[in-house]
Amino acid sequence: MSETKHLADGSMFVTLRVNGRSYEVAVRPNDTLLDVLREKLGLTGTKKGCDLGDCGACTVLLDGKPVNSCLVLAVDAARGEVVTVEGLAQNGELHPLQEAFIKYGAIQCGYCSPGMLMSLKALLDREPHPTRDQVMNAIAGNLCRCGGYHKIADAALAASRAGERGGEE
Amino acid sequence: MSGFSVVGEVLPRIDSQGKATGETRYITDLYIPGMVYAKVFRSSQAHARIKRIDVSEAEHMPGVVAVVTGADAPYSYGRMVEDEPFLAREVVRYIGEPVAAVAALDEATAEAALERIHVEYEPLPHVFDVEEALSPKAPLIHPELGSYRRGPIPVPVPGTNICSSFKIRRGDVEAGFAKSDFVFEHRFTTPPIQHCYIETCAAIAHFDESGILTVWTGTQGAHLVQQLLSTSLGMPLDRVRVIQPPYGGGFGGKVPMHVEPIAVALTLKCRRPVRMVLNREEEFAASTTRHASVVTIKSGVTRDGRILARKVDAVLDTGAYARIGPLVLRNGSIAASGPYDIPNVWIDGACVYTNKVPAGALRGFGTPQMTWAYESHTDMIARELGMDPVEFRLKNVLREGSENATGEKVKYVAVDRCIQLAAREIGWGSPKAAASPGKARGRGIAATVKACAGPAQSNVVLRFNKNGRVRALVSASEMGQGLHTVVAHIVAEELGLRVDDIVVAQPDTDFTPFDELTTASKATFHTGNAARAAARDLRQQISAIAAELLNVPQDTLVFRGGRVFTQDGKASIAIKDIIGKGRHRASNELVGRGSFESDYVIPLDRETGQSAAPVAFWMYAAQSAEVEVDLETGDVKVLKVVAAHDVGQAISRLGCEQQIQGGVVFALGQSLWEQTMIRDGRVINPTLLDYKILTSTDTPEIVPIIIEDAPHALGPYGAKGLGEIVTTPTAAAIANAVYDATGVRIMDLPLTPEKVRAAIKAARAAKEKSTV
Repeated sequence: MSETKHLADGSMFVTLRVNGRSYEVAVRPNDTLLDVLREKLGLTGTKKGCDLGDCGACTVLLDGKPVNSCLVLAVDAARGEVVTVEGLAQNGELHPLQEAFIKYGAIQCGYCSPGMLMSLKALLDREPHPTRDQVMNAIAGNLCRCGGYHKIADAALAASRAGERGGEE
Repeated sequence: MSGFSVVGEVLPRIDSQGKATGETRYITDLYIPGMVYAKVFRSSQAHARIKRIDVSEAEHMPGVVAVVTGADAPYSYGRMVEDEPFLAREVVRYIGEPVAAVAALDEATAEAALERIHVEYEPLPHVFDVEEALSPKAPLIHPELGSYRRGPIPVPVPGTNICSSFKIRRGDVEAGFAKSDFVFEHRFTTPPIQHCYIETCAAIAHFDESGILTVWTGTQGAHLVQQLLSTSLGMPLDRVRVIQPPYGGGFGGKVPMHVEPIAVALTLKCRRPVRMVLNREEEFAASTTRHASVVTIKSGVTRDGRILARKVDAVLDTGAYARIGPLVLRNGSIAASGPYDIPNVWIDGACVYTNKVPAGALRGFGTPQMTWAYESHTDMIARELGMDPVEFRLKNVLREGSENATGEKVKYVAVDRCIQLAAREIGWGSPKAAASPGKARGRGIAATVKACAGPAQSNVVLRFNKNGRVRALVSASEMGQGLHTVVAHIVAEELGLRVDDIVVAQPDTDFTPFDELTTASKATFHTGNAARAAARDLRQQISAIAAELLNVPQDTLVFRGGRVFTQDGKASIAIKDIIGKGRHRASNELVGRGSFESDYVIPLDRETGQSAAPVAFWMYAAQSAEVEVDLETGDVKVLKVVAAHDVGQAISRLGCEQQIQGGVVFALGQSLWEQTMIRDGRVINPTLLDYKILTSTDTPEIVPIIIEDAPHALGPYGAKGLGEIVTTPTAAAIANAVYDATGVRIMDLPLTPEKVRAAIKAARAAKEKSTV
């Protein structure tokens, strides 16, 4: 078996919609969305912690829902709308969650942060005024070994309040 | 009130913006042109002679760039004991040990090539149990132990599996027992556990055409890796350059070289940049664990609750290679009698080889294992004496001027305050809320002491530029603990700048000054002091120019808000406008330099473990917990943890809160569930699904209490260390609370529902039997 055959075997072009942009990329049938985001699109903000769906570091939004991008095949993501951590800030303005993560000390080593942010964005999009329990449940699939769950929850709740104020203004 | 401008304030971390946007490039995000990907062929045998390795099929696979075995890279390394080969030579000593490695154009090809490597082994007798390994009949894992190169710390016993030993002899422990009204002896154990940083170990190595070896690695010690590689390879230090990009968590697990030797062996052969990343299974099965321990502890006490003598026998299972085990043994054992004033102490420690995945530092350097033992034991004694556990502890605790087990007169001690505040905040002595049906509530407390051993040296260079910002060159490692933010607070404090005006560069041995490694909660103290010295150097230089420009004496200047003021505040000049002025008009920057070394440490006497200045500094803490135990299932639900920590002085208050809350979360997993399960030498739960760490929904209320009553005279602004000690008392506090709730005592971690349920059932059966 020659190397080119091995590499080209089954590769196909698909169009991925990521953070509002379209990308045409050649992917193999077994390429995960995570690997394609990181290696083909250069979007390394999405992290790989286990590649088994256990840690949540690779969480992205697929059609608004948080998914472990290591468990989604790139070809299956082709019909959907993907949002990664790079898509959170808009026009140079940080998302309220990002602002709150910085202000409330929700970030330590930072490796789980992109996944946390995406899980919480999904929560706030669907439930703008969550309770602390709802926040904790929303990130139950995102492991943080620095142990920052409380400060992450503080930040999420602050971001939800910021959204509320923004709405009133 | 504190007199500080930014020290002790709650301010955002300087590294959080890039981490919040995904822009921070971690080690696994790096790509170097020409880079190839490595995978490791690992031993399937726990102890065996390698009869034959055949890599020819793998070598000829399309896409494979290089294959190496121990014959290609006949190097060994070890900071403590030089016992570990880059790749196994002749003998394998644990399942998972690297035997061969492949570099290929992509990971899938490298992985596929592993299947084409064929190794024939001749099994050797193995030993897995640490106590069996101490038996004279046990197979020797390192028959050459006596001839290995080693550093000053290890005290090996050649001809045995004892990689290092340690002892303390203070007073007359037997006489102390004889004088005691009661003598208690208990045995406690802990399992191996895993670091579980979310970013796995990763490195890229490139041996280039000019003969320079560059290694990008997520290490806790860039200068240590440089030193170890230079020694192993016989290359001059200046030919080895180590660059440390940001990485996702360390906890002591990124001290050992899990990936660098593999990447280096391959690049030496193929001369291309080689990327080596552990997968999660390799992290569990073939990186480094916390030492499993067996600790027997015996105390003699008087009827009124004074501890007169304590004897500790600690055995740490270090697995197949020493790694940093001898230092873990020493730093754990030195405080194995606890934060108590005990006149007669006898401590024996042994760090013992077995045919298992090696153990090393894991957020606590041996102290979690020792604290688990002595704080469970201390509680058991108090209960036996019918004394309140808080009162019993306070009666014996170290206070200013007490002598500890090494004979040192201790200073800057606030452990009594830690115990009092932890007890008060958990509601010690007040009625508990009613438990749910079928459940029982209890409270527990534990106190602890931890060494930052030293001596160690840290250096900081500060470059102050025309924009009024400072770039700090620091080799101590930011791994999430917040060191860069601590350095920024200190530099900002000294120069009257904002914390955000300070940028801290990533370690690069070509540019950032020496700092061996970041462990043992040493960096705030050591690197912090160096940063302060460097800032003061800079301040002096700025003062000289400002004094000239403002026409006032140098020592009257005040630094505030980015400006230098005359004493009366009437005239001032922006610091950034000083650059390129006065005598230094041709310069674009000022450079400050600072150094700190805990050179006052006096090595322990080898025979008695005594020293007047045994360590760089001590840390103290106490934690309390309230739990609810399901009497049917044995499930322990932790309701609240109070963590009272004597930090000396908080530098970054936000960082202190993060370390305390996070450390408790870390330690709760180890208290309740975590254990690397090893059957016949093989790790059988090598995933984050089978090895459960604490999740958000498992996390109880955590109350951090930052105690600043006992600033350390030598710490920057009085600061001590914090990160590690947070994980040391939690398990005992929980077990003591479980006892308080149920009357059952668990002496081996973790406190799984199975164990607690079995103990409750056994206690009920015993009670029924005695009442029949």
